Amino acid sequence: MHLSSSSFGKYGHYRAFALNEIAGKKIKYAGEASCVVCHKSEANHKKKGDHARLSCEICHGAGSRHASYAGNFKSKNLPDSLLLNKPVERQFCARCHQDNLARVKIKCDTINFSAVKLVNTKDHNVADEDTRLPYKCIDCHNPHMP
Amino acid sequence: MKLINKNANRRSFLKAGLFLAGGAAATTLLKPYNAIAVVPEEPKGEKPWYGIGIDIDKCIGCGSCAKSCKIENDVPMEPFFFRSWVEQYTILNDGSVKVESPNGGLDGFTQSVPDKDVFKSFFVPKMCNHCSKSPCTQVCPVGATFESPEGVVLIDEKYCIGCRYCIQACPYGCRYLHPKKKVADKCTLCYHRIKKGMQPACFANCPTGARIFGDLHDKKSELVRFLKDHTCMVLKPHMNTGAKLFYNSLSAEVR
Ligand code: HEC
Ligand code: HEC
Ligand code: HEC
Ligand code: HEC
Repeated sequence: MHLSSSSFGKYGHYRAFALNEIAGKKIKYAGEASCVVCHKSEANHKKKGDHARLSCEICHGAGSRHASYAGNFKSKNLPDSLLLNKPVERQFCARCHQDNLARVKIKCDTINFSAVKLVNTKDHNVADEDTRLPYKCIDCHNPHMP
Repeated sequence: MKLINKNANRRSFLKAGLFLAGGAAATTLLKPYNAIAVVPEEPKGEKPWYGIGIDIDKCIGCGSCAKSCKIENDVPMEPFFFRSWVEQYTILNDGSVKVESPNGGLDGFTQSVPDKDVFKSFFVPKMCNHCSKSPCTQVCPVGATFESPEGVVLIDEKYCIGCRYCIQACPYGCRYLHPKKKVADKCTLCYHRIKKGMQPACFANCPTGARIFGDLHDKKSELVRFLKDHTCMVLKPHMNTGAKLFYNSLSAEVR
């Protein structure tokens, strides 16, 4: 049995090379700073609005590959493999904004202090009153500046 | 590498481990339950020593942390494997406690108890506590899991033999056996990101700033500031794990 590698025991009872191997894994979430370079208008909107603290990738998904390669495509036709999510469904906003007592931090008769503004997405502007067409949240709220 | 029929050794190893754990618990019972007191032996030197703060008052249970962790770290998508997940605790008016974590909170939460029956409810994000006296690393028979110089508890996939000792030993349920690789797997505090100066994925993707990552050595860090400004507690302090994950507003019901 060959348990020992040349780096075993260098820092402790383990193989020191493992540290570099783990540190060398690929990054998937590039971080907002990298999106801003190419998407100034979305970034500027967001900075001014109530979603300022939401990282782009919370909504659009991990964008490291997109950020590295989308720049090669001048047209609007990104290959599928580089497309990111565009979460347009009501359900998506509900993840954070749906009424839930666990989101209400101080509750008494007159004050409701919550970490995030809540609505009951099941009756907050579900459909147009005249046409009965269903609404998406983003029909009224700009996701980058809600 | 062949390691079969080592069961006898393993069993005596486990016995020794249990004995040690018992002794350690007894000594800490004498100390006050103070978050600072349960972090022992901060290593000296210039190197960062990472810790985690979670503000339960700010968590809205969106599950972005759990979701981004799975993606960033290629954690299997099946609902039993998590490095980072969220639980909703609901304490009912009749005193009973309900704990829910549908798919680890990955798809968000819906309140399952009507308002009138709820005494209080809150979310608790969970992940590896990166303990400085971690029971999980102590039980590893082959030196495959260890604490890095930065205080991050890691697994060497090439050395792990999949014996599951560490999975049993973790009091916080933070390890699992990877179904394909057949080795133990756990949170690395996104070691590959923090080594490049980035936040771990679950911190970078928290919309409310409920998660704070930082260097416990750096007395000016956001994390140390957070510990100063809040009354923080670790999970299961009586186990003397030296956990470095500090919760603000942790209710006694949380296990
Ligand atoms: C190198 C430049 C570049 C960077 C960096 C970049 N993008 Fe893009 N992005 C593009 C291009 C080019 C397109 C396609 C053309 C367009 O829609 O403007 C695009 C399109 C998109 C779209 C729309 C996709 C669709 O399906 O319509 C989203 C959403 C997006 N980017 C988000 C991001 C996010 C989030 C990041 C940060 C992780 C990011 N981008 C970083 C260049 C970039
Ligand atoms: C709250 C979630 C959310 C956040 C945060 C967010 N976006 Fe979006 N974004 C959306 C949604 C939803 C759409 C689709 C809008 C639509 O189709 O009308 C979108 C659309 C886009 C598009 C495509 C616009 C187009 O005309 O097709 C780009 C590019 C984009 N976002 C970039 C960004 C960048 C860059 C950031 C960070 C600075 C960001 N987004 C943050 C939700 C978000
Ligand atoms: C990941 C969580 C998250 C998601 C997803 C999300 N939001 Fe938000 N939203 C927030 C946070 C956090 C705030 C800031 C809350 C605060 O400061 O009061 C906010 C603020 C808002 C506000 C402003 C409320 C006010 O008046 O102060 C609106 C409106 C809003 N969001 C709508 C949306 C819509 C529409 C969507 C879907 C496109 C969405 N949000 C998706 C977290 C989220
Ligand atoms: C028909 C347009 C419309 C649609 C669709 C719509 N909203 Fe609104 N929303 C509003 C208006 C107007 C307000 C401000 C007045 C109010 O509170 O009703 C508002 C307020 C809010 C607020 C702030 C509540 C507060 O307490 O201040 C949130 C959060 C919000 N909306 C989220 C959503 C979400 C999530 C969706 C989708 C499920 C959505 N909205 C769909 C028009 C809309």
